Amino acid sequence: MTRGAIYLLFLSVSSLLTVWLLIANQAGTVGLAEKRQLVHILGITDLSLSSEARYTRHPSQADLFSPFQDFPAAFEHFPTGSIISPKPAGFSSRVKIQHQSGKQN
Amino acid sequence: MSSILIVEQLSRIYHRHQPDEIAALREISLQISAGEVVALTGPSGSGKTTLLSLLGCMSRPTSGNIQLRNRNVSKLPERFLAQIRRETFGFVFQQYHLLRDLSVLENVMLPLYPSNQPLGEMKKTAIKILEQFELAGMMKKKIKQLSGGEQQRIAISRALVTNPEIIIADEPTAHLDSELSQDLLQILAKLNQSGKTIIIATHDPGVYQSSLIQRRFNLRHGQLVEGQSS
Amino acid sequence: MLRQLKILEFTLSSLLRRKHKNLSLIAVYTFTIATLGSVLFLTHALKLEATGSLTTAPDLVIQRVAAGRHDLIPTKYAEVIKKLPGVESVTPRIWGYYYDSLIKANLTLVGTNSHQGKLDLLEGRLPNNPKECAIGIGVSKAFGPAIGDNLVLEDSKKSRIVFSITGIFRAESNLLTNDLVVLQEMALRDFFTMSPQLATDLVVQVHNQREVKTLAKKIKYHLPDTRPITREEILHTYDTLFNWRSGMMLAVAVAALIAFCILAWDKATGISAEEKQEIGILKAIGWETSDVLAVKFWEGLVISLTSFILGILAAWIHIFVFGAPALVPLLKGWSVLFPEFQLTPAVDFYQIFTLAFLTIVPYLACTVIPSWKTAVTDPEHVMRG
Repeated sequence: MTRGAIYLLFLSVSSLLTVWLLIANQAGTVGLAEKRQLVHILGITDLSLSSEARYTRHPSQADLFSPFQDFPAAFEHFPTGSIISPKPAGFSSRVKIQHQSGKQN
Repeated sequence: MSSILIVEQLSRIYHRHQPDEIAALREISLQISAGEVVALTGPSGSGKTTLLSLLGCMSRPTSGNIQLRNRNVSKLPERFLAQIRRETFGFVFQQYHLLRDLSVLENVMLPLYPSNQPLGEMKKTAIKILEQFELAGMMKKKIKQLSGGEQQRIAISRALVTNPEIIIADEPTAHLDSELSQDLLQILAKLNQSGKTIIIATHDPGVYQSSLIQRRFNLRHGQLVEGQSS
Repeated sequence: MLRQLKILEFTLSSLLRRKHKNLSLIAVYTFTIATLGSVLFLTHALKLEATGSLTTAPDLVIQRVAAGRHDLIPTKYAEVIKKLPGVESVTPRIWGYYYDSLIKANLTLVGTNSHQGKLDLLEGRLPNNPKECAIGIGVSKAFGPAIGDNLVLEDSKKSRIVFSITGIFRAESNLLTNDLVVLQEMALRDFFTMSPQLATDLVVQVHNQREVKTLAKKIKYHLPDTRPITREEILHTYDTLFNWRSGMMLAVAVAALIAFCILAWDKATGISAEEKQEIGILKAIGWETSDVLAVKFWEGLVISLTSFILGILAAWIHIFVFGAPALVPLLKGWSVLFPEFQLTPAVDFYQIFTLAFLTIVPYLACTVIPSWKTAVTDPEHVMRG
């Protein structure tokens, strides 16, 4: 057998294995229905991935200032903070400017 | 005998229109017949190598024509030149130019890769050539493990593997002692007997004065000078 | 086809000549792909885990915000919300954090009113009286109790409260329940000494999902000191959290990509005199420019494709067989209770193709383009030694 044939065989076997691993094992999350029941009964809102601070334990529930409790420009206390961004979704500006004419923008 | 190569008014100018312009060849005309053995002689810098590379279709002339078997090759695109180099010429370079880390067999097979031969046949062809030169025993060895004389015979095997009509050899004896030089001339004589045209660039009197050489072209400053034939 | 196969054959012999150099190149390349692939697999699996299971989270959670901070919400707000059309139910919730200074772990204490008792993912049952609790497996591992043992917590008045453990959440629910201590709502209220007029937040269930956003706006209008959080926002939080463009991906991937670029640049900035000479020799003995470029193309493809596939395989095994040991410290941070998760294999093919495109194509370009110039020049220079 030539080197080319050996290499192509190796390549096709390994890529088939990869594709098989990637596709065949995508059975969807195991026990999804059970997890949904649990979430529903206990009213869970977040994953318990990281419990070092409340904005990393409950990123969706943390208040708007959590990571900046001492000083708005303070460096993060926790390494997870570099991964879990403090900005919750649906946070919109509440500051309005009143111009001299008195009209609100 | 019919002419296999006809050269008309051939010039080659390097760095054209620049301050360091050099005319390596100036309006050279010559003819080489099929089955002939010719020598290009002259001191270094006289244009031997330039002429050899033009004849071997490795570069194109600034002006003039080269006809190979009545086909003008001086203006052909590179793709066709590569094909001509592969099918018509066998090259033996002064430095041999073998790929040092590949085996003897792989080196001899090199010119056959772009051909239509399947790999198995390529191998057979290469082994047959190596057997002719009694090199088959070392075909698995790497080039860097071999002596200069052995390397040259492999370089010749590689030149012959495509069964070319014309052999071009550039200073083939430059790295050989006199005994090996004699061997080389015998090999070339045998090739000539089998009908190959041979063009040798050399400044070794042992080569250009040998009985093998049928004609000699003497170059000086890019031009042919007297004493062309011997 | 035949010609390409032969050229592949030559390429492989050619690559084998520099075995050590090329193997280490493949090793570095594979490592880069494995790192990037691991992050992609992990973040995608976590994202699916979150967005898959949190679809039954409350429609709306209403927090009170005081001085920019999350504050306890008066239960009478529930009355206001209940009157809004479209609201199905409003339930005050009690939950909070509890720090244990001995093992330095943060627990999440959750109050429940559920009478369900049994849950599929709960070994045992939920507490049905104020003296009982159910705990996550992280808590159980940290402190070592089993069902039937007692969990003793010290409240803010320094008195020790004893809870009997009636249930431990199964390992499959780890990512949701690891640090939970579930108590009956009244028991937790007592434990936190929270006034009956206050709750942690309010859970609002809505009849029509399409009205959630409108309702959130109305609630915010009627109760300006509240912050409604819709389930969509929760899901969106997790979606962006583990998005390939943000957070973890950026933190890890940028470094890896830069390293890769340096590698590619090193190759691209020129080919060695030896390689130039070799290209010249091949051309002189009759190889066409396209053949020489095909060798370079195959060379790049063999290295990059081999590394890519090996890297993806390694990443898959790293994440889904061994549970991401190399990336867990990043997520874990200083957390003491960290779930030992077994992620369900989930792959986003779009991401895989993006990764393939971003690594294989530049590498191929870096191998082929520098040879281009040498390959198109006449091989005349070879004659000159």
